[in-house]
Amino acid sequence: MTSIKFRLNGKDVAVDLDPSMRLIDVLRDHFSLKGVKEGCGEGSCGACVVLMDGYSVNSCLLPLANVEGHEIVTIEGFKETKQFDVLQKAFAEVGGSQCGFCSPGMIIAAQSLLSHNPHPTEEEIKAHMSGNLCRCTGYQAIVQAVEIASKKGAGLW
Amino acid sequence: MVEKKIAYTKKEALDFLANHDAYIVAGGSDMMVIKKNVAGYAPLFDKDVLYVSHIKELANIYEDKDGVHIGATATMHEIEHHKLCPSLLRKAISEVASTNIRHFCTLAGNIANASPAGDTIVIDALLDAKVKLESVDGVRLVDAKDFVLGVRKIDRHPNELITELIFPKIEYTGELWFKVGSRRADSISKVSFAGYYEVKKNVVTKFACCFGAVSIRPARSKELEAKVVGLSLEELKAKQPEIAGDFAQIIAPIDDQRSNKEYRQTVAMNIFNKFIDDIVGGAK
Amino acid sequence: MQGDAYPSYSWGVNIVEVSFDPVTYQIKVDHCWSTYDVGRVVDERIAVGQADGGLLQGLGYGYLEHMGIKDGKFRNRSLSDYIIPTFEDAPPMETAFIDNPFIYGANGAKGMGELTLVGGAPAIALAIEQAIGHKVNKIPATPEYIMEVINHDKH
Repeated sequence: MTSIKFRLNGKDVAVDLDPSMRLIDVLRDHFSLKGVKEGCGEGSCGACVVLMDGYSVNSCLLPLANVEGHEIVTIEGFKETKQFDVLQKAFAEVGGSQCGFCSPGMIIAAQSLLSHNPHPTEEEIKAHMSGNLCRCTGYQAIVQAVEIASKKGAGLW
Repeated sequence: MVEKKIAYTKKEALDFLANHDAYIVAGGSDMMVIKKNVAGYAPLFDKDVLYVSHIKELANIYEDKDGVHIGATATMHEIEHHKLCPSLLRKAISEVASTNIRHFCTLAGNIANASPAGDTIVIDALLDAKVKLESVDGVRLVDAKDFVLGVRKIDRHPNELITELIFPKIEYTGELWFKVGSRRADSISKVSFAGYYEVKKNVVTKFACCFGAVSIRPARSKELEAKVVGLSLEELKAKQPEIAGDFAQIIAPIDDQRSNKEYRQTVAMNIFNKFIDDIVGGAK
Repeated sequence: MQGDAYPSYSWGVNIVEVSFDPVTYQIKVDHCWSTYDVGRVVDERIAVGQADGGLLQGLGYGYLEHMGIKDGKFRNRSLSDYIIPTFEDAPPMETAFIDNPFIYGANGAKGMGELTLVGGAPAIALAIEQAIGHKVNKIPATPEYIMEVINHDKH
């Protein structure tokens, strides 16, 4: 068993697990980071997304082997940032979160978008986040939340 | 005991493949679904596995006299936003899966997976791309349109690794990429279509088209395409029903959980006719 | 806050506007307008959230979400195959609530949890009927079904 080294939520970690394991299982079971949710296990719902080198990726599809040497940020790590603070307040303001199951993934996807496109149009928000499914909100509030975050967080992204 | 190897250089990968019949995992977006186990457990691999996403020399995108070379581990996101890459390829990629997946999945993986519904495979076949395969025995180039042999079957010898896809430069007047999924995003194709054409002085000088998701491999007929080249726009319009009838024979859609054969057949031909209408009407 | 929200009915009206593509038989939902009488809204943010979410779920039921069965087994048994709306499928939705306090309800409120799911599917089915000029007798009114309806009526 090789030791897989990567950076997780700002800390260097080394994991002695089967390199073919899914990142989502490594995060949830080995690191007890329950923020990633398995909605489908097939990459269709986005509830499992984390940031890899700043880009949102489906942790249910990433083998541990591929994560080696990269920087992974989960919602637990992202919670400590100013950007999260702006996003969280925006989501709360307009009701962008109801049951909350999709929310960690939505926030991570929003961060991935805003960090590369700080002032997205409504179309760009919808296109970028269309890999994250939500059953409760009808999406309108989430789009509004990202727009509000983009305005109120000007300069952060 | 199945061996799982992470390769950091092309040489490491080829040396491993010389002695192991292995699954090759690039991004993982197809392989991890195909081999999915229950939650909490590693995927069910019944033979050795080689992980190639770390091989930096396979991530390059560059151009030379042969065309645009797209490395096997370049992600679809990189390709989508790379100005060198063919416009039709970038359009097709922008509708594959989701941004989340495009951030780590690969073009090589899409053709290696050889799903009948694969979108970029249609573009590979249309643009006469070549698949470059390397092994300890040397280099082999295979036409993309011949690379897919069947459902999840490709022309790859067990000791070979896809290292690049090469797209020759093709100049043309107009193009069409059309994907019909089950919803407006994040969906697998029920029918797809790609085509390009060139019209000079009212005469069709280039014509090529390829259907996807309506047969096991991308459906293309260079014989039928050659019959369209040389027609004037008036002749093309007059012969349109006959030409459409000919092209309708090259696809063989099926019923499955996503759609049925009547719908796929009808819509594929509707799109084909729209393509001809675009050419005749002078649309770009 | 005390009361009984349930001895009476709550009411809603949904208007759904769609566009139909004759090349692919696909439907695009362009815009939705809804009004509801739930007595008195207690929390507007939650009420609008429920209205948006319930309507989109109802629309999905009406035109996207096919659950096929073959040989007694589900065909569409994953989120890749059971098609629910994404961001790109969600239309702009405008919602208004009528203030009509119910005398027995807590703070005048009546039930609204399930209400907003009810109208979406029939509204979109009727909109599709109007768009294609043929009767729709089944939901989800998928492109395959729409094509069958149009062709069947021709013959």
